[in-house]
Amino acid sequence: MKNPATSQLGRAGQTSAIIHQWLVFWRKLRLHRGAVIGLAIMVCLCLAALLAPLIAPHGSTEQFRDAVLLPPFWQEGGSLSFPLGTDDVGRDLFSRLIFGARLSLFIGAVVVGSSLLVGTVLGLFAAFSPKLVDDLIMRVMDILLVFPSLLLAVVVVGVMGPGLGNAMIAVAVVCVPSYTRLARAAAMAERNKDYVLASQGVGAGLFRIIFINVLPNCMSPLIVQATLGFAVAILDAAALGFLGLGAQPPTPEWGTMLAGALRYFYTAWWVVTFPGLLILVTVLAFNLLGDGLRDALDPRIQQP
Amino acid sequence: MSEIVLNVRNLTREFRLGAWGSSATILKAVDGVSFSVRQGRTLAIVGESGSGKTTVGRILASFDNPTSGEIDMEGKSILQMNKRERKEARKSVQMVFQNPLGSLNPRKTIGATLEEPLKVNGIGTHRERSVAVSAMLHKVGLQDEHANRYPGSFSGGQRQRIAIARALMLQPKVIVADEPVSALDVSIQAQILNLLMDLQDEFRIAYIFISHDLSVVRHIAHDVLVMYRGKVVEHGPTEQIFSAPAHEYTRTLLDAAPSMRRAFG
Repeated sequence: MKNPATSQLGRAGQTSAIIHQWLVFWRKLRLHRGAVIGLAIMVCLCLAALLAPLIAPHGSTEQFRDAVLLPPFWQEGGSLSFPLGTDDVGRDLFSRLIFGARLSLFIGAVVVGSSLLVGTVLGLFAAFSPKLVDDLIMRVMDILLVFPSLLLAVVVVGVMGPGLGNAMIAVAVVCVPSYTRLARAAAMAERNKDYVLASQGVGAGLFRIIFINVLPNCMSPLIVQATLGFAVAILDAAALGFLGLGAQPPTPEWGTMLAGALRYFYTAWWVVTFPGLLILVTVLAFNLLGDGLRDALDPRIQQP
Repeated sequence: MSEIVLNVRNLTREFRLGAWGSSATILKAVDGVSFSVRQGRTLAIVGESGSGKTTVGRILASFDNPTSGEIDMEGKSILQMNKRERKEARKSVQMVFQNPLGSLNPRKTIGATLEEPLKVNGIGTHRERSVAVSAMLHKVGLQDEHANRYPGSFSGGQRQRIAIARALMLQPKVIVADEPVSALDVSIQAQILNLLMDLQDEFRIAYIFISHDLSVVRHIAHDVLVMYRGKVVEHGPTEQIFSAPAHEYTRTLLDAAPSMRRAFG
């Protein structure tokens, strides 16, 4: 190869190889229209969450006593300073939803991050353990899977008390088994390949074999599951908030907002519609992206 | 004659079939196998599938433990060594696998794969290791720039060259090659065999060459060990085995191999 960028042994060549891999990956993902839409929505949400204080016209708990239950601006009586109207105590709905995006993405990230970490480590450990330890871990996971996830989350919150932090722990616990099973299944398939044996043969320890050699080869299904898990986490946290077990008012959490607004369902449609719509769109975006990633990361689907 | 690096006496490996102890039948995969390998020489282990030849290779490379028997490495018994000595001894026996695609980590660059043996044993600094890696790539007929690529972008023959380079990184005394060319095109097989022989001349490595392909064995091996159902049925210099097979099974094996003479009647 005459290309100077790859002609020497060093970081430059390695970087270009990685960039090339990302380009191939992006080309595959781009073919999936849903995934691109999901990604676009996700980027918008992330931007909104990051720039919330700049975008939002008002504070999330700021009350305007003379503007209670104001309709959105295009309806009669609405005003442009409250684009999506106000709620029962005169807070700007648009601002609260934007700050809510912050919260929902934070919930998603923390829940997925912690359950992915714990689940993956447990799964890899189970795959490389003696049968007894493997059985023990997997049976505990099976027991967790027996309960409907939201019910289990309600139980966890019931034991630890309501609140956003506990709700996140509850949802994370519920999500762990799916990652454990995926990681174990993937690691079992990799474990018997010769490269693991070869690595063992040159003296690599179990820790190195599991986390440096095997884990990168098990990532595809985990990434897909994590993306889908983001949607589940946001939905479950919203559901717990709706039941009064998650974030407590006046936190601008979408599920909690929905619960507080339910009384005005007939008189002020916007207070319930917008939080609900946002939950729907966010969950849909993550699911679309997850499906697209599944196709893009699947080595069996080769591009012509 | 050069010194003996590996001496195997009465090696036996039994497998229990069936889950419950009492009713289990015992399969003797390897049954009282003895042989020795000298520095810079090649011993071929031949036999049909299920004859136990791969099990012998796995035991020698410490991937499996024998049920009984002795393995001496340069006069010292491996099985009686403590953990640290055993780890050292293990480094001197490296393995080359049949399918290079499976034996190379698909998510690791070639450079990282070749560096791993040095890294996990704490040999050299990062810079010294990358110098050693590029030197080894040249030795097996590849170039520096290949270090940044992934196994997927190489041909079968190149991949097997990489697998051989990895086995050489720790400067082993013995390389166990389990069917190293049988997954390759015939035209590539000869190149890899010649590479193995060149490396043997240069580093004075002993090869244990496990194969079912007699034409390949005849080309590379100094001595041949014929295994049948876990037992050694014949053992001797290559020419003697091929010209005057003493055991009936060896004759069957030789007759079963396709030859040019037969093809032309």
